[in-house]
This record gives sequence, structure tokens and C-alpha cells, in this order.
Amino acid sequence: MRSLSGDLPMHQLAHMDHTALTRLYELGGIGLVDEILEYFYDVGAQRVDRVKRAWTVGDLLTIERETHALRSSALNVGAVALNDVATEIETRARRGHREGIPELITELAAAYGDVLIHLHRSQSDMRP
Amino acid sequence: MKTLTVVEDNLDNLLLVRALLGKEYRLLTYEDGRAALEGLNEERPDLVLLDISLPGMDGNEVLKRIRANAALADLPVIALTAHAMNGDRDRFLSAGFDDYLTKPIIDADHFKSIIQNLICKAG
Repeated sequence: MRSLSGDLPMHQLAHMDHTALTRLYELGGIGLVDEILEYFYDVGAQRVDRVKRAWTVGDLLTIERETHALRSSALNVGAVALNDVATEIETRARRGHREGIPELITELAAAYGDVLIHLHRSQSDMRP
Repeated sequence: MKTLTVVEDNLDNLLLVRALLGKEYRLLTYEDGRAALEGLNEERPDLVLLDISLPGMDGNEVLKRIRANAALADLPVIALTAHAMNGDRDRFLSAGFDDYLTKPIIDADHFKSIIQNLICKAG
């Protein structure tokens, strides 16, 4: 089912915490929102790439570290579904359970892409 | 103005802490445990906000070294963690933290009151 307002499917829109950006705005205005989002766009993409590369060499420690950091950034911007996938990967990597990780990494990258679309739209909507 | 040492390797979390606390406290920030310990030896703050998941030396090890240092042993230290599981509070208190906060920090007032209370308690 697609949302009425845009391109993201309803279930994905529902996995964003829409209050997160509002809290950032109340705390530090559009300046803080921009700073946090620019960090997420930049470093978030790097972290997803590092997770993918780490998997190709079987480096579970890096996967654990990068997904843990990504979780924190995801929650700061309200990306609940992204946090959930990152948490699942982090947990499996920490326990040394490799099964299912490649599929979850694919889901992670897709979730990250979806979140970017939502955040760019929200950021634009917040400007006067 | 009271001084807080903040040990956190993610810049976005540092930005948030600065937005929340930067007007009321002087903030000394470090991105890893070793640098934080060196900083603490140079200047003792009124309280430490310590991320648990740090590169290299993690927050638990940093705390152990703080408590082992006679000049810093009674320093109030709050754990910052993205993990939120049952029993965490007891675990952190048993480890020697004075309190813990879960990231993302949603309740700014609660966050500030914990810090203020611990600083007052420390005298």
C-alpha cells in the first residue's frame, strides 16, 4: 500500500519516528537539524559501505562496530526500521552468527536509501 | 560554570549533547578513552558523560581506570549507551557508574536533572 503523500510505501513511512526531527528542531533550530542530517547523510553512507566491505572479508568485528554506530545515528533522526535492521546485524555479528547477515546487509542498504528519501523531504518541509 | 567531560566518538551525539548542555556547562570533549583519561589527569571536571561503546578502550575500561585513580575515584560518571535491556541499570551501578542514560536522549529535562543532582551530591 502506498502512502497518499509520496513515494515511500506506507509501512516504511510508519517506521520513521516523526518526532525525532521535531525534537532536534526544538532543541537547536534548523541549524541543528541540518548539522545532524548532514552527518547522517555523509557518515551513514560510509558506515553502510564499510559494513558491506567488511562482510566480503568476513570481518564481523567491523560489522558489529559500524552497525552499532549506525544504530545510534539512526535513532537520532527517527529511522526506527533502519535501527532495527542494524541491531539485528550487530547482534548476529557479536555472537559470531554469520547466517542471514548478507540478506540483512541488503536490507540495511535498502532501508538506508529509503530513510534518505524521507529525511530529505522532511528537511525541505521544515524550511520556512 | 561547572565543567563536564564528554567521551563520545559519534559526532552527531556530541552535537546533541552540546545543544542540550552547552549553554549551561563548559564541555570538554574526547572521542576515545585514552585521550579522555589524559584529559582527566590534566583537568578534573565536575562530572563525566561516558559512552560505553568507544573505539579501542571501551567505556567500562575507562571507568575502571578512573576509579583506580585516587585523584578521580569519586568523580561522578554517567554511562551513555545505545543498549537498553533489563538489568542494565543494576549492571552499570555495579560496575561503578553513578547512573546511565540511553541514547537517543529524548527527555532533555530528565537528562539535565540527573546531571545536576549528581553534581550537587558530589558537592
